[in-house]
Amino acid sequence: MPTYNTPDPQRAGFARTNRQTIAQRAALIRELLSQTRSIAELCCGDCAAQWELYRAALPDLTFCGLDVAPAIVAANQAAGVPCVCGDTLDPAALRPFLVYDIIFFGPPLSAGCDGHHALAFDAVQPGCAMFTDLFLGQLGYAGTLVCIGPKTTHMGDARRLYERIRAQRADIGLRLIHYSHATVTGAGIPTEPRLKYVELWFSSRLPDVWEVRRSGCSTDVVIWGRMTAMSTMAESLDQTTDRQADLSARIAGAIAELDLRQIEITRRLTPAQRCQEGLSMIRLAEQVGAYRLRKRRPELSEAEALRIIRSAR
Amino acid sequence: MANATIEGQQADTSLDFAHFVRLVLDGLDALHLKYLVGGAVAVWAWGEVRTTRDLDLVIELPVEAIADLSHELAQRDMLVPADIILDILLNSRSDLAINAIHMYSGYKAELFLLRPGDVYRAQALERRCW
Repeated sequence: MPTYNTPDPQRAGFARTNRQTIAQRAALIRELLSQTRSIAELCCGDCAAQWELYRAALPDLTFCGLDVAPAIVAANQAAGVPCVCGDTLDPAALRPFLVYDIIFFGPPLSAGCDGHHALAFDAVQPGCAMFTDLFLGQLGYAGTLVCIGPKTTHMGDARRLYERIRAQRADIGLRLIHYSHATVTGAGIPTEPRLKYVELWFSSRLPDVWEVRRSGCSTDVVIWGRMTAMSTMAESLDQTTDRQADLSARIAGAIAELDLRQIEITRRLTPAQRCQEGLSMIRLAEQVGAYRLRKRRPELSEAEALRIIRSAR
Repeated sequence: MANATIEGQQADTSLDFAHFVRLVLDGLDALHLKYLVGGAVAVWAWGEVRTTRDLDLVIELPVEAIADLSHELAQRDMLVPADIILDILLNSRSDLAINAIHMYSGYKAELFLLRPGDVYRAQALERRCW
């Protein structure tokens, strides 16, 4: 059995999902699986918000959470959320969930569940590969399984998991790769746009079309999300050798070159204004060059220095 | 935003790159901060033409001047909260610059901080010429 990432009990709880990301899921469910009657969340954590929003979107919904931590299960139950205790790699714990229309499988995606040190897709425990082997391969679940991966999840991860599943279940396809962004934290505090996680929607009931969709963001935010992922990569390189530390700093610096505020302001400029900016830069470049040239050759007039600079001689 | 007449038409001086450079340098001068112009603008002085939309600077920024720098930039339509400057100053793992973006023109000043032990930049600051 793998060692699971569990939250540090000494620290404040971290919520990966929030009202924005759950609302995105609810909208996708209404669009893709409008006949849904039951949803389960495995490795559910505190799922009170899911419970509330899913019910609001789907009035006749049956919902149940599963978590390995008795304290989390007890807290959910105390809040009125149907939840049971169990391990997602235990067949006995999983069997009751085979009847659910949609299963969200969301293991902890960051070290210590702190939300800041994102794990690689294959480093998540319990991992999607082991879980799908059991739930789809051995237990034969028929329905829609949404595997929630860390924000570092890339197409290669999706492809490998897809091929692993298809080797066992040719009837299951990958309907959707969903990049879920949010501008608030789990505690509802406004933040810059963040890529929260990547959902892989496997299903025996939906077409195998590999649609890529992003929610909660504009194109700018997609860039931001990629920057965030690259920042994480840079940070992960930071712990080892001097060379890697240097590389880490260079990557972070290169990412910082791309500033979304600058892009947004530029978008608002008219073509004439952009042209004005370009011309002003040419003018300043010439003036700086002429100034420095006259420092070295004081006999030149400003007009002569400018002429030399402009002729690039 | 100030306007000036160019060939009979009103032109927005905030879109003038020289005006932006002057804004940033005036802010640094107001705080008596030691700075060095780098990047494409510095290369222009040597007759090489490189395109840019940024003004790269190295600055020596004492911690006690952080709030004042934030204030001076804000007065010039570049909003950089003091806590962000402090974060960048404290984060020595990455050579990140303070990005001061002019909210009307989109021009960006990248203020790289002179950090302890950065001999290269310290020497460059001492060798800077006018």
